[in-house]
Amino acid sequence: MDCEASIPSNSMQDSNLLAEMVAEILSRLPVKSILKFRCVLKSWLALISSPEFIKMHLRISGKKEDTQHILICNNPYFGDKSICKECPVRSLLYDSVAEVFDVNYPTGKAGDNRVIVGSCNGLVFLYHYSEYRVLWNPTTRMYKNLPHFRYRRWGKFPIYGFGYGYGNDELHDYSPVYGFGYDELHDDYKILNTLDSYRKMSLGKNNISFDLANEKWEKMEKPSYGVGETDGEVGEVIFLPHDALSILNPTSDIRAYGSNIQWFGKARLKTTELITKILSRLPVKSLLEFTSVSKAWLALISSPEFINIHLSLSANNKEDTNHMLTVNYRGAYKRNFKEFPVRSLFFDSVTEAFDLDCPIEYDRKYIRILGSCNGLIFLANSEGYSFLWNPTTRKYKTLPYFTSRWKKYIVSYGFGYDELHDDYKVVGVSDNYIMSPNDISDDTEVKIYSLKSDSWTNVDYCDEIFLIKKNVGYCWVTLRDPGLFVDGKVDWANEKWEKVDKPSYGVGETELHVGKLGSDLCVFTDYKGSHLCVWVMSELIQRDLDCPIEYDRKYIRILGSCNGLIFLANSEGYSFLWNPTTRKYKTLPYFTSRWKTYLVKYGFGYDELHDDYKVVGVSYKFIMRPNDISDDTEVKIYSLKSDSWTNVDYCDEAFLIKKNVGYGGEVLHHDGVFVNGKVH
Amino acid sequence: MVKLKSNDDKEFEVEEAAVIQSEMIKNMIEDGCATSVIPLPNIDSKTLIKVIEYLNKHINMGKAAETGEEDDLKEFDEQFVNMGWEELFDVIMAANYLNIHELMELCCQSAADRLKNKSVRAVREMLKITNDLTEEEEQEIINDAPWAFEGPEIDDTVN
Repeated sequence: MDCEASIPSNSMQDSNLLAEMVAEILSRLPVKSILKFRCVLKSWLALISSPEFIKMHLRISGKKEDTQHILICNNPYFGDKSICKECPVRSLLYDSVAEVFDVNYPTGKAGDNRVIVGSCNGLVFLYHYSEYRVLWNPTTRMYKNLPHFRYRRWGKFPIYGFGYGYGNDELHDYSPVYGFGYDELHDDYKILNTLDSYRKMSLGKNNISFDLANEKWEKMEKPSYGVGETDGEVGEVIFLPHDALSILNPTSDIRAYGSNIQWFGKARLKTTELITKILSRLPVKSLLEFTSVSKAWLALISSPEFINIHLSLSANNKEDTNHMLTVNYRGAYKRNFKEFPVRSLFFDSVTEAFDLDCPIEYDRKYIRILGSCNGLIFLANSEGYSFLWNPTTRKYKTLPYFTSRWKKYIVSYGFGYDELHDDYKVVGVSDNYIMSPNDISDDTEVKIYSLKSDSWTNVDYCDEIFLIKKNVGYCWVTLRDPGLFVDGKVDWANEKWEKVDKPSYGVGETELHVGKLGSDLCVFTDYKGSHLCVWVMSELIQRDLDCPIEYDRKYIRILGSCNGLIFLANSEGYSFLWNPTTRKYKTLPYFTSRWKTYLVKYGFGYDELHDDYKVVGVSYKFIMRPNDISDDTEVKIYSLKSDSWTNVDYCDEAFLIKKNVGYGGEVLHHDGVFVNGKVH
Repeated sequence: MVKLKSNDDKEFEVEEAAVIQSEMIKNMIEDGCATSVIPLPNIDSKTLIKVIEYLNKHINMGKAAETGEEDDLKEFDEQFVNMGWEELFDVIMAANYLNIHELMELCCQSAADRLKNKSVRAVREMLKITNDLTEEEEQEIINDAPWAFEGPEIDDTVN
């Protein structure tokens, strides 16, 4: 062994070696940069254009996850729109909501019946049944037209036309199945065409292969197993990367054989399972579009099981999918719904709000958002009509009219998901409307609307608490973007049932209110003005809280809570912050307005930026007739740190929401801000 | 221990476990040719120190995955490639010569990342390349794939 020879000599350090290193570096760049850098130097242009470099780049980029993309296109015989989208595999694997990009077909007209036959090494083979066959590189946007397949050469077989699928009309006597792939043995891309003859003629099947190197269609020997064995079952012939030609059998498995045309493996793959996995990570907008990809996809995307998977996946990523919905009540005749991602509030300096078109037609002007759950929003208008709306899918449903046994009545609603019965429910509590507030009636009528049965049912009053707990659910005001609501069916069964004890005090003597404590639903009662009991519906913890606030307890209301602090206000304009854990409370300075008679609506939340708890009070002139709602509004903000109310410029609504109200709590009721109930 | 000698005649002692990450040296050791000092006529001492630093850190790569030191290693790699173009090229050359696959991959990727999204002008400047294409030739390339020249690009030559 000559040890001296095993040490490479110095002469390697020349320009060839340098060029080799440049190739190593450039081959790790994305295609866009590479095409651009052809401009840098002549030698770079030569290098980048060389087949060796292209292969090197393919080899290196093929290993990287971020270069793999999925191309999703629709079946041309289903739906009139051409859909072609790409989605990075990396995004599918790691993002809760994957990115989807539009892709333009390289050739042909918008509504063409194109079929994507297969892809390999980033090349896509595309064909139109009569017009064109195209080899297309979506990355470089380059394409190459392939010559017609001259089927006349097989003259004794009368062929009327080409179709994709198994129709038996005149045009589809033959069902050619194309395959496309890379033949490593000959270092060439090949297209395979299987002619599946119409059975009556019993002409058998022919495999015709297109050789890119000499640009010729040629008859190919049948593989030993014979295509006939998969008679009628073969959906698509595809070449897989790594020199394998495979026949995809849509029923269950991929059969693959190598470039020497022999079986080399049989891999089981449940395609629908895979498609479900991929689709469930897509945003709703894409899903709705993809319902026109094929009938199978439509069925899949509309199925309750899929909606269930999609909802649970998207719900896991609150940051991305939680959206805030705001409503502008300022103009008497118009409601402007706007939405913006919660994520944007946290991380962006300027939050971009998107207009949301509310599809509900009638009487929009008094419509209110009353609750949301799993992406569904419950609204009601001043005339007693109520609606369920999914802003993501833009569908809505009008609920049956709520009728009460009284002539005049006031209805308050709660909306939520009933896990046990897998149903969305609305609880409506109607009270006899009596003008003087001192005469509050003990008599209350409770009805429950079930989305499944699409009707209101009377409910025994005593069972109210139980009802609220079990049927209205916890996620009272969680607005999640990709909640999918299709055809009124949403399946999210999770068999959980626990019994809740009724509150210890007498039901008949109290007025019950449904409120929210943090993210939990609570019921609080005003016990004949002597006790304020709060009942938290979280994890079945029942807490009777004795409210220490002395004066005018009977009209006190819980208006919000955040981080364990409860914000209350009474009917005389006094407001309080109360910590039930420490049993301490604080009376806030009196809210004064420039009007003599005015109404105040409050919102309470935590301002993370200034580490301060803040209350937003919106006051407007009190006018008896509801049609005369004044546009004039005064907004004040109370800061716990400074213990004072400050006037705020009204125009700065968005700023208000972002900076001063903080990130949680149901804030600014009347000014129309409806915020995700979760705090932090 | 294995002794390595740079082209400016400085000797470095490296653990065998570290040095066998170089396919070249590994083969020499297996062939029994590494009994004395291994001369490396293509590598100066400054570059060799860098390479040895990498080799020492990357001993027992498999072990790192088990003990959860992967993040630590990642951080080291990030710091490691934080060097000038000339130095980086020297290390790439050395990695290629010594046939250290992981180091080659790391440095080439780092170089590629620096070039990514840069303008043609910036690339020429960074790599001290004199343009030898005519304006017409350049325009022809642009016309060939105009989309590649669209969108934001960085004209900054700073790494």
